[in-house]
Amino acid sequence: MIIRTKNLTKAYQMGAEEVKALKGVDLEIQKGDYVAIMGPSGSGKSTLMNLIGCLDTPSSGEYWLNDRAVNTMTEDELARVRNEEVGFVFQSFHLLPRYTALENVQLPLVYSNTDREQRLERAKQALEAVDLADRMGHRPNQLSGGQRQRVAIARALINRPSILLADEPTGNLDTATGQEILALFDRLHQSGNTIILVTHESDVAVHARRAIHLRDGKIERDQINEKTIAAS
Amino acid sequence: MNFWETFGLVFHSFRTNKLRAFLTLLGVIIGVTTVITVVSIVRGMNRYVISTITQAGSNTFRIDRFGIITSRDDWLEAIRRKDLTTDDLEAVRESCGLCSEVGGFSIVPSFINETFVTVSAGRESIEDPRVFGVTANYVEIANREITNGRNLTESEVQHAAPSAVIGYEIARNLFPNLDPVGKTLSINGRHFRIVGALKKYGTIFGENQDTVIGIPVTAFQKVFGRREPVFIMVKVDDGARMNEAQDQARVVLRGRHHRRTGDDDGFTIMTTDNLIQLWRSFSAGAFAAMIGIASIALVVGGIVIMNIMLVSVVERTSEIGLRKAMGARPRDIRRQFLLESVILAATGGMIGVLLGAAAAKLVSMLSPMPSSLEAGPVMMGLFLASSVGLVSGMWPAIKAAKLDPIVALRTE
Repeated sequence: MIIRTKNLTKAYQMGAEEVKALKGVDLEIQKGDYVAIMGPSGSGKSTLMNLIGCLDTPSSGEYWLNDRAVNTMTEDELARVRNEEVGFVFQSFHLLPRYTALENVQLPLVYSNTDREQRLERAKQALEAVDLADRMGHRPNQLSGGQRQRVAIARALINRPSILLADEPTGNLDTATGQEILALFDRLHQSGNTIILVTHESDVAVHARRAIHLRDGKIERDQINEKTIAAS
Repeated sequence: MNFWETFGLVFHSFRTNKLRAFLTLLGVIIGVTTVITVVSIVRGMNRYVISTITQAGSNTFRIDRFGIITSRDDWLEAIRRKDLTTDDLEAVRESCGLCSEVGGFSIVPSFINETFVTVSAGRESIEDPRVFGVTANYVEIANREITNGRNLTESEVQHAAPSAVIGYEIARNLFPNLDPVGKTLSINGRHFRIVGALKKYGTIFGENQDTVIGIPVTAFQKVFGRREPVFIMVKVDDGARMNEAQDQARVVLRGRHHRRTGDDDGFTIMTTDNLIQLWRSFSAGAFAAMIGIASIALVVGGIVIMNIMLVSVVERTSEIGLRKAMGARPRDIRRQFLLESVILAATGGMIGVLLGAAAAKLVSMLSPMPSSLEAGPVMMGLFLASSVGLVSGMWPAIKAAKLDPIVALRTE
């Protein structure tokens, strides 16, 4: 079991009002699973993603990531978990514009104190794995949207995380390029990675084995995509 | 994020926005330039001045009406005083037992010098000569050396003989490539026979030492009148009894000028120690002014750097969010921005050191003031600049480290 949450809640103070973004979420995700988290805006899916990604701490409830209780961790410990256990892929790529693809991919290794030579070696491998061996020296503005997202995926995977957490990874891409990225996710899933995909598009979610629908801060539906499993 | 990566980052932003980088660093550059320039010049001058002042020997003193004038009050006081005369000189020579040599000189006041003194030999003439009426022992007391010929004799001084000792430049200009000894020159139409030539001394405190002409003080009074003031020079062989010797001379002169108990002297005794002290208080003033200018510039520079770092934190909010998502701890972010701020300010410091060294060099090339660039002030300048960077980077760095990664990631 890679992710286990128990009665997870999150409340924000918005002015005088308290907004309950999550109202008790119980969730279990197996190692090697491919899960889509779906829901309309305001359903709490971003909040859940932030909690799963250890960018935020819950107001109450418990969360174990890879059998470690995350909800009691300090800020430094959370940073370490983000570094080692979570690989983030964002809608808007979030590459550093002044850095080359090779340098961008190395970023997580900088914070895990990996030595320079090993960093370079692993960054090259990671870029080769996403078919960007010929774009290593390019800066983000010299790359297409799909290529940028592939650099971001290489960066997310470089520290061999327990989960790959993708937030609307195709949201800024055209349909064809989006399909390429989803095909890459399929490939990564087949090679054993655990993927959590946050999206509001059902044709993106169909790539996942399992879809969790959120509404008003609670899990509304949690279903297995029989067709997807049958198709593979 | 290690040092060199941060370094590269800072220089990259320099290259892309040169004007902004320059304006950011202006305060630090001015501050450090001031420190380096002033310290170099003052240190260079310290050596120069002290070696110059002590050149005449530390066991001589000078008595004159003016002393050292550093204010309007000093000046008003000095012009009320009576001039010292050759009779005063003789009295000190007679009655001051501890004074081994008593001599003196008169000069034409410099403000009338140019109009009234003409020196020529044949068709050659000299601009801006400085004619001294001296006693025979003047050359010895002033520690000057005669390279050619001889000094004036006691008898020449007693009889107002038309003899002269001339400076290096006078000799070279009036008698190019010739031995001046034995030749004659004319001062305001009177002829003087040259008996000796002085060694080359160059310019000291802005006065050319090589355009001097020494004639017997008695002859000087014949040419320029008896009213010109006399400066008395005293040499004391027993250095330990300098103060006693000065007191003896003081008593003699006070008696001659009818000063009563409680009156001031009406003249000033100057020793090399006085001069060195005067110089030290002057250079301390220059140091204080420098510290004032430099600290204002550095404070302003620090505020500007803080401002630009705050802008940089806002501009790079999304980068900070990303770094946090990738596993940067608050202290990693803090260190990155602090390092950036220090490197920024230290770069300003380095530019300041270079400009300061250049300015000091320029001053010493264009004026007789020497300068000396030493490791100490350079280190101090770089240290000051880095400290400014550290202090002014503190708040922006803390602000960056505290950013909520979720909010930061949402910012584009």
